[in-house]
Amino acid sequence: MTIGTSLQHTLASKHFTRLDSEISSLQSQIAAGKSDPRSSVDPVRALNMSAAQDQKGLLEQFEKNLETADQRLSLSDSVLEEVGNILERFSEIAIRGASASVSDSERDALRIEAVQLRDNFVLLAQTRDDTGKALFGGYQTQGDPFVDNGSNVEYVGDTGRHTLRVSDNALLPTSLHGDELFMQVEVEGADGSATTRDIFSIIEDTLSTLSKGGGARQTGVTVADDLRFKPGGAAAEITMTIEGPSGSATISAPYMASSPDALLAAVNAVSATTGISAIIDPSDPAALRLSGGGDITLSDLRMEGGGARQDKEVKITPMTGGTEGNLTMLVPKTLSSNAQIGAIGAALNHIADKRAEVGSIQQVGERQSAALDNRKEMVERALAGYEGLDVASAVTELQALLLNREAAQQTYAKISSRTLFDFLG
Amino acid sequence: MSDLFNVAKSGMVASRVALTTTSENVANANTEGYSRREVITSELSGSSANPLFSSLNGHGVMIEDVRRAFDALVIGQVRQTTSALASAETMEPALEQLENRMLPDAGGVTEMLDSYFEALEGLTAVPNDAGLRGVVLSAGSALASSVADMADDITDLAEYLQGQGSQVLDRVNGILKEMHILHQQLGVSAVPGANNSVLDRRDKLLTDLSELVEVQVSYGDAGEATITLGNSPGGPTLLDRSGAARVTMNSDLALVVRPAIAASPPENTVTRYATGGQLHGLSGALSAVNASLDDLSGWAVTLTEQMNAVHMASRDANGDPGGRLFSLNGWAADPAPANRGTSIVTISEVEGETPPSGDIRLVRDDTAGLWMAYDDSNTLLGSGANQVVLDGMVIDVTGDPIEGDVIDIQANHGRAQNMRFLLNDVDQVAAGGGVTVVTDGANTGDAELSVSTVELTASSQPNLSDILPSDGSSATLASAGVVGMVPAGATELTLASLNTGGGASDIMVFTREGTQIAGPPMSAAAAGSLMTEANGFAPGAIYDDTLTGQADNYLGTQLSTDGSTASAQWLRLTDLPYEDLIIVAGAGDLEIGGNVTLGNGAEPDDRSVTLEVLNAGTGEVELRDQATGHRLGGGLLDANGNVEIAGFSLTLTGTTQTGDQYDIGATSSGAGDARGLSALAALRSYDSATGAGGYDALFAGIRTEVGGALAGVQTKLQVAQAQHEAAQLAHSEASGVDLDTEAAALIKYQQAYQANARVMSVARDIFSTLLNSL
Repeated sequence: MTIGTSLQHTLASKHFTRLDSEISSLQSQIAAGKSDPRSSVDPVRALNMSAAQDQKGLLEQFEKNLETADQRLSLSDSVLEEVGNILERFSEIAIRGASASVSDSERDALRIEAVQLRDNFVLLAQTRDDTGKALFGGYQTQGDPFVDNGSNVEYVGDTGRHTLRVSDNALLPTSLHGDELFMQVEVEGADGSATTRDIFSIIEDTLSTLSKGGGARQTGVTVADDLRFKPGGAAAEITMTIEGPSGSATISAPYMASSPDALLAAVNAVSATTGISAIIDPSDPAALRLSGGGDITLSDLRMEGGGARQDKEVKITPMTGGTEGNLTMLVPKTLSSNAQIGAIGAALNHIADKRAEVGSIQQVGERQSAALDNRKEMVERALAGYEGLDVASAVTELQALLLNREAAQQTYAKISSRTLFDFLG
Repeated sequence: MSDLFNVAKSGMVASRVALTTTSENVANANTEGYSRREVITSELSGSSANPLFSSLNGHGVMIEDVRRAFDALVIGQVRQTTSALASAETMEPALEQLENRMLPDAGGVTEMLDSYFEALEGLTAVPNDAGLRGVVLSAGSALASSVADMADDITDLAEYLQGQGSQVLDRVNGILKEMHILHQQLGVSAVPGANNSVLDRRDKLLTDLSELVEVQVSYGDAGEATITLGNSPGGPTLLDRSGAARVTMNSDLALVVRPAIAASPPENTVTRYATGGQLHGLSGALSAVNASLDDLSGWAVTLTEQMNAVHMASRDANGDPGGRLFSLNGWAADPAPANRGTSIVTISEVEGETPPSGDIRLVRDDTAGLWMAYDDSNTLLGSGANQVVLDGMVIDVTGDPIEGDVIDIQANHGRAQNMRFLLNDVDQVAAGGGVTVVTDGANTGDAELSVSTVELTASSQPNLSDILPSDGSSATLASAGVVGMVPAGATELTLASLNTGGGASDIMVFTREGTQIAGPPMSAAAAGSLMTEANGFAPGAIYDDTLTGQADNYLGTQLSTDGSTASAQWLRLTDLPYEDLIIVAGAGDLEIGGNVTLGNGAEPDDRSVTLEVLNAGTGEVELRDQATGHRLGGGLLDANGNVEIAGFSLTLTGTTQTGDQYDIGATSSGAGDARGLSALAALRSYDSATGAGGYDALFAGIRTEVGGALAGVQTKLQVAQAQHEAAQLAHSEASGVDLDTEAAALIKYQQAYQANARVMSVARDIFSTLLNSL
């Protein structure tokens, strides 16, 4: 086969160019330490690499989210720990304050400490995270989640639980909201059944038991012959057991300061059973005067209706023999010192439960974090496989190409340097 | 004796011509398109013979032809492989450029997409942080810009390919014309080998033409070529005896061939895509580039629609639904060529309005000094001096227009190059949980419902807490009627009406929408006069007495009226609904007492309600609570199809039919609510249930498609190179100049020349011998 001299040169030149471009491409890959990322070089590898890079970015974001969630949960945990400490101290104060042997001055001291603790408690409930957002406000993170008017604390947040994505399908709460933490404590109700209360009202009630005359708060009162009966300032439906010389009966009637008539009628309706009659108190039209010609015992008080908790009490003034005796406060069982101690205990348990919940969420986060680490390692390994260059093989290939080029150049130089013309003449 | 001289002379002449031809071969060894020449000699027969004497020997040698080495089959293969190679060589760099543009480099779409999702995730952690919201805005803007930039670059590439196509076409037409002229030179001279250089030129031009576009060639007797377009015979004729066809090109780089014959009818004009050559490479690359641009636009549409849908279903801190995040709407302004004035048009989109979907024509009315905007059907949409404001768009025109100037504005919505991020205020980010609307499948109307929330308007009436004495006593009202309102958020209400001699007044409790919860039912007339906006009721409140007096009452409210006596009427409501309640007192002693527990009543997290069209004619609709079936309120749709009921702003767009229903799921929202952002961030991964999200993988798919096409072209290029080399080798064997062969020929012809000269010398010796012998 004859090849034209010109074509021979052209082809040789093309082959050199091709070798040079392959050498250059390989050299640049070695310099970068990475395989050529282009789909045209290896579509499957490029696609896998892109997916792995996307996964890596996603997993890194999940890690960041886990850190943020853990940070907020840790803060919640430490706040709840402090909340528990305060409640424990409250419990001690309530138990001490319930003792009839405590003097007024000692009770005052306890009350001062309790007021400080209460304020501290409210401040803890208003805790902000590191970005200045309310920790326990649910979705209402701007401003304080609780409004404190001095005697009553209202929750103005909502029941939203802020969550962050920590995996493709899992959302991890970053904190609990104030409603479930502080407003939903399960305590024993007036009728013995479970009911929910907020911790702040429990604290307020405990404070009430520490007020002056707190030792005079009774869930049952016995007075001889006559007594003045004046409910607190809230319109409510009053239920109680009246026991007189003839027997006992339970009455239930609505009461309003300007209208004690219904209660009056209810007491008189059971006069035959109890031997107790009632009239509007001559010196106070909002009060009743109960007369029985013997011991009158009032107990099992319940006052259902609106109004402040501190108003849910009845002032009992003994009027035996027409002489005004020492004032005694008849309070519902739920507001008794014992009930308060129980309620604080329930609050303590509630906070402990919630702390456990925070801990369990953190644990979920930790497990998720471990899973993320594994996934990330796998993705990084896969990425290294797709992205990384096998330097040994690349260098070997480069060496082979260089040798190839050198051989091609030398043979070309040898072949093209002589023609038959060299032998003419 | 003279014969001997003549024979020797003919041999010397033939050898000299052969030597000349060989030296010409050597000289043109590197000339492109040159075909090797060979001298064809033949024996001179005895022409001097006569009838009586027959010459036994010839009279020497003669040059029959200087033949040009030519193999039509081989050169046809060279042309075919040249076309294939040129096609692949043209397509490869264009696709390489396209692939490089789509590589996940810094500042590219992939990185911007990652940054955008990272910004969203970052904001999810602290949804009301203004700084992080700003980051989302800038990341969104950067993402939109990167997509638009990429689309612009790809469009530029497409335009560059079209420009290249025009240049190639010019060269095609040039070659065809030159060949036509060349044909006229063929056969002019009968001297052996005289046409060879013309034929070399012809073949060179044919090879050049094949590099531009694949053609089929057949040869006439004189060597003239008939050229048809395509990779098989029968294609449109580009050149024949009639001359060169007129070849133009359309925007897809397809060739439009009009035959050379004068006044050729239009039906003879044929449009064909090139099957090889640079034009084929360019049209293939253009098609791939346009496909990538379409894919990118499709990707942008998917991202835009899904992101917008999620954001629009989310709510901001005020409870309002989010707007669109991205827009792909755009227009191209095209001034008419006949315009005499100069005008520059700028078009901007108005957020929240739907721009016209079709094209718009601006016509200058100089008498009125206005630009008139018309739609496709010549309906006047609007006008303005320098600015035309239409629904959803504003057209600004600057310059010096002249009467009758026309500017066509073509809508090119849905294209990636239009992509832009619409939010420019951090408060526009809707981070919170959303409102979902499910249209009942049984609806006969086609109306679509959009829902937003409105703040529960505090009643104009005084707060009941401020009226009731705090000491538990009663107050005397001035007159019967509305007493006051219990605000949303209150949990418990205890009320007593006392009989101080004239009889206890009735106590009635209503929602602002007219549902009575407690108290004796009213007559329709009394209710009608009571339920006015001045009394604190919602506009269009409708009286509903079906629930009043029930213990388990409106939305789970518990009512207790035990304890009412002759001297007092009592009622107690607990678990109050989260809305304002209006308290009304009837005639009587107007002595009212009680208390309201304000506090922990929080807006419910999830509200599921149903909107029903009660009367499509009057536009009366009703909103019901799904859990209890209780009527929350009703109203009449206004001219825009909007009504506000129980904290919802409801807009029905389209035709409604009586009985149509829509289920609405609403969640509460606050500054710390990040459910909307979470939903947006979740779009980073593909959700197989909804088919949404996974944009990075989708984009990688587009990139891989381009890479796959490029890999295909690269393989094709390698094959084409090999085939072309093989064809060149075959051609070289048939027509190429090999210097070794030529050197051998040189020696051969030189020896022949010397031998003939020796014959001449011998002849001279013989002749001398003869003369001397005389």
